[in-house]
Amino acid sequence: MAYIQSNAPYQRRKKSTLQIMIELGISLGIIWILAVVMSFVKLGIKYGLQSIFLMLTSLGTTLVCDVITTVLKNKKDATLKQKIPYDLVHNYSWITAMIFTLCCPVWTSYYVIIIGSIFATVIAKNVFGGFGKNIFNPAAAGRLFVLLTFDTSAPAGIAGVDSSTGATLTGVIQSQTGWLGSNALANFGVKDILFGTYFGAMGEVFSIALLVIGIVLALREVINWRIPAFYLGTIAVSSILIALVLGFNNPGLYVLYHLCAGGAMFAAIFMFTDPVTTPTSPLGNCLIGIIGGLLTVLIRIATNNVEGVVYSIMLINTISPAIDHFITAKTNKNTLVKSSVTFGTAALSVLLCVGVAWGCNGGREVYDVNGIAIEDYNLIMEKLNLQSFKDKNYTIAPVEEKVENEKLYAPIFYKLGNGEATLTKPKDDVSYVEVTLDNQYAIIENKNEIGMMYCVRVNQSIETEYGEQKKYCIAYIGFENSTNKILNISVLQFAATQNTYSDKVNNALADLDYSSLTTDSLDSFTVSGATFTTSGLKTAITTAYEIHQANGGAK
Amino acid sequence: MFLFRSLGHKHLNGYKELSKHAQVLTLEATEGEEVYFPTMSPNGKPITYTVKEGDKVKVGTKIGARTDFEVPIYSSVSGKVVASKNIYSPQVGRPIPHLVIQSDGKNEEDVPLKTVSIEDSKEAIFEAIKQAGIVGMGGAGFPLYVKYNNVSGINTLIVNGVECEPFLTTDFVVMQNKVQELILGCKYLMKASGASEAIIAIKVHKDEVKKAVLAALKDEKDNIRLQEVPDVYPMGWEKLLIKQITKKDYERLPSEAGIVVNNAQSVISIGQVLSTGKVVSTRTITVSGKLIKNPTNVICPIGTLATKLIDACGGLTKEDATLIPGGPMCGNSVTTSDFPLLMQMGSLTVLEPLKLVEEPCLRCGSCTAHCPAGLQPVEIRNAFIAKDTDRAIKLNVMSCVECGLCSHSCPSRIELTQCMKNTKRLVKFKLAQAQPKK
Repeated sequence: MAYIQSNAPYQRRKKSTLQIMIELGISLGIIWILAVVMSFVKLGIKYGLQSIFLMLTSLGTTLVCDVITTVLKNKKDATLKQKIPYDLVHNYSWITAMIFTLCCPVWTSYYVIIIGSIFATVIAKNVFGGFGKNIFNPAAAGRLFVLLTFDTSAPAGIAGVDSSTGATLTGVIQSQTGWLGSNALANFGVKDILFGTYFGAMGEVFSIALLVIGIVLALREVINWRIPAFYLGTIAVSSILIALVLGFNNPGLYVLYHLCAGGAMFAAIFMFTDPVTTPTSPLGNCLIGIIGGLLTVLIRIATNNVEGVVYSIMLINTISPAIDHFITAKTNKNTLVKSSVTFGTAALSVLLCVGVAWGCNGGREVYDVNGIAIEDYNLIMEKLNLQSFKDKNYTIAPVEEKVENEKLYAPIFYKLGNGEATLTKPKDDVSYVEVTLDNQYAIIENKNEIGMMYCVRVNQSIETEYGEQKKYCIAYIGFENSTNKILNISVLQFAATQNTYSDKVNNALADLDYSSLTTDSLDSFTVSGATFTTSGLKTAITTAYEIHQANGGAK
Repeated sequence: MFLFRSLGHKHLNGYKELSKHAQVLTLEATEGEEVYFPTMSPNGKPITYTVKEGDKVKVGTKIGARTDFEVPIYSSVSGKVVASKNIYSPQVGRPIPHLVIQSDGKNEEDVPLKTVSIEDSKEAIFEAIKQAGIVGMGGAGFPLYVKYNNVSGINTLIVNGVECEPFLTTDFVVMQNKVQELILGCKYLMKASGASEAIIAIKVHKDEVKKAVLAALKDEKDNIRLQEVPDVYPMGWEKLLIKQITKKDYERLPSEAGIVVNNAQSVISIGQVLSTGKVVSTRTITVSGKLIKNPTNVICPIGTLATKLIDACGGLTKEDATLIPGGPMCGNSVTTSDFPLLMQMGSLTVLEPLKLVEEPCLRCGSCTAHCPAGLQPVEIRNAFIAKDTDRAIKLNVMSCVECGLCSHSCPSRIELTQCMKNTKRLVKFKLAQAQPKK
């Protein structure tokens, strides 16, 4: 008989780290299965299979990375062979891979997933020493890397399937209105938001499922309940105050968008709660949740990035060691200081969010024409009168009655090569064009209606030697009613990225001699500049001309 | 508010049903059997014995006293003193010389101690408590009389019958059978401390004890009452118990909050010794655990070897086991069962040896969430690894009570409790070093 000595205590909790990770993996698996089902149902076999293979690719890549890391780490170790399978499981990179894949949209390319997985596993995790040592959430780091390096927006083919929900929700927000546009999300109803029938990153859309899984995981002590609760709470309070202060029509819906869209719910449950990169004390968890919520809302409303969530994860990862360092008081004492610190932070955060939102919104109305909701154009007209039109003493008035020709008035989609493209032949390298007439206005000079102005939005993909590039153009083209001559052109958005070239183009357009300019002379019209093309603008002008003619302009 | 506060306790699987209702065994000292008394108190101070080899003793004969406190030590058997032996002492943690008394099997009793009644003066009762030589029977072995030495401003006596350690049922068994002594002890201690009320704290689900105590309390004045506390660990820690019952907080000693806390069996012993004059010569010990054949409670003379109790309970069911004098949370395992069971020891637990593989800390904060002292074991561990004693002191490591919940709740199986102990040792060492030499 032998008595074996070991360290007290001798009764240990049943739940191990492996079990916690397995439960987390099962939850992520459920979300993934939902994503696969949705991809099959909404996008067909190609993308359904892609949603499966993306996950497998990511898992495979991380596991290969882990094997290589283990081999490099234990080159001279005789037990290397036993260490490899142990590390494969216990480095928990498979969780990283699952989270990372679910953060990406289903149309992400395989090589993008591979590169992102390598970055997440090797650079963000193994370089720091593997599981438990990393300072940044590996999945968030990988996602951010991919976000900044590759274009993961929806390819043209997806948009052709269903025009209203073709883009991701955040994509729509980004391209149209920003988070402060009151009608930003007209196409997305409460049902879509809650049950995830719109497109986004694979895992982020199923808000109800995420919420249920989050509650179950919190009850099973797999994740910390404080971080998601305070994170979502801060977002909810901030966004409802923003909605109320800015007078949005439906504050409840607005809060819902903030909570569910853009991966906030997914991140709250699976990424903010990553224990390795967040504080350990209860107070620290509360603070990190509040600060995370603040950063998410601020980045969303005050910057051009709609994807505020992934940035805020990385940012809170940097401050969590500091929070851990400064919280040294006893955790079971609930002093006044503690609650005042927390609620003070919360109140300041919310105030800051609302203040910035108010400031941003005010600023947008006066100066920033880009990214304003279509319905808000009238407002801009009144306030701005589009500088170049104003310079020419034109006043813009909305046209009340509808145009007779519905076919042209409705958004016009045409794809090259399918026989429907009839309007104009774009340049040969244009692979896909989508032209939309957003609105039309009467041009008034000296109280006489002298012409019509059309706001045309052109969204085209161009094959270049670097691959497919997207060119946007939103232009206002004014035609004189009697002569069909172009009165004035003003550009709201131009070229691949927003806000980049519109000033330059507008300056060039202001120098044009409009008295001699006709649509026939368009071919000779070029705007100098090495990196942007004017083909989108030409398409816009040509389309506007066609519409003007159809509208009853001079034949 | 619960929002920013750590939970500070945890419900553990108690395994109390193993020994709860089993028949209590009584082991009498047979002829030739030896009982052992250590020559060192738990704090390392020597114990002096006034008897020498060859002396005859009876049950209740004063054989020595501790040098650090005025605690007399009485023989638990009748017989003669034989040559001292070097055996293992779980309190000190290494083999030390023990005084050995060989029983003659007769269990003759010496002259009883002076008895006192409730009506006697506070001072007389205090002297009687001091004379009784009782140490805290909850496990710490702290002399009971010290808590009543020159106390003032005490208004509440809390009788701690919580027994939060898993497997232990000795309080449960003894409290059921000795309710009258319990209430008598309460009265003595209330008189000695000047407390106006006594609260007998037991865990919920201890229905038998509750019934017995309530029945006995029926004829009493309502200044003694029973209170049930939740079934969580470490509810028996006096700080947590006081917080739970009175909502009061204190820094160092319960007397700051006007409270004195005593273990239920200590109180019962006080009632017994002060009213009859018979010294405490036996102790009820829970012998339990997953590897004990017949787990039960055993009444044995103080100083009996643990081996005898384990054998009396049918021995072990497996060759390899871990033996813990005490409960599985606070106790420390030993490599031999040849050690004497003293007055403060209430249990022997035999469990499967732990086979744990440590994983990297995932910083889940489970240890912080469950620490009853409100510490952050994960941060203290980091400070220990960095040998940063200043930070460890800042993190209040010295108020750790080594309850074992941090190790228990750690999913990565990190030996946090051991780490806390090491950190405390390091801090003590550094502090001693920093003090200027006299």
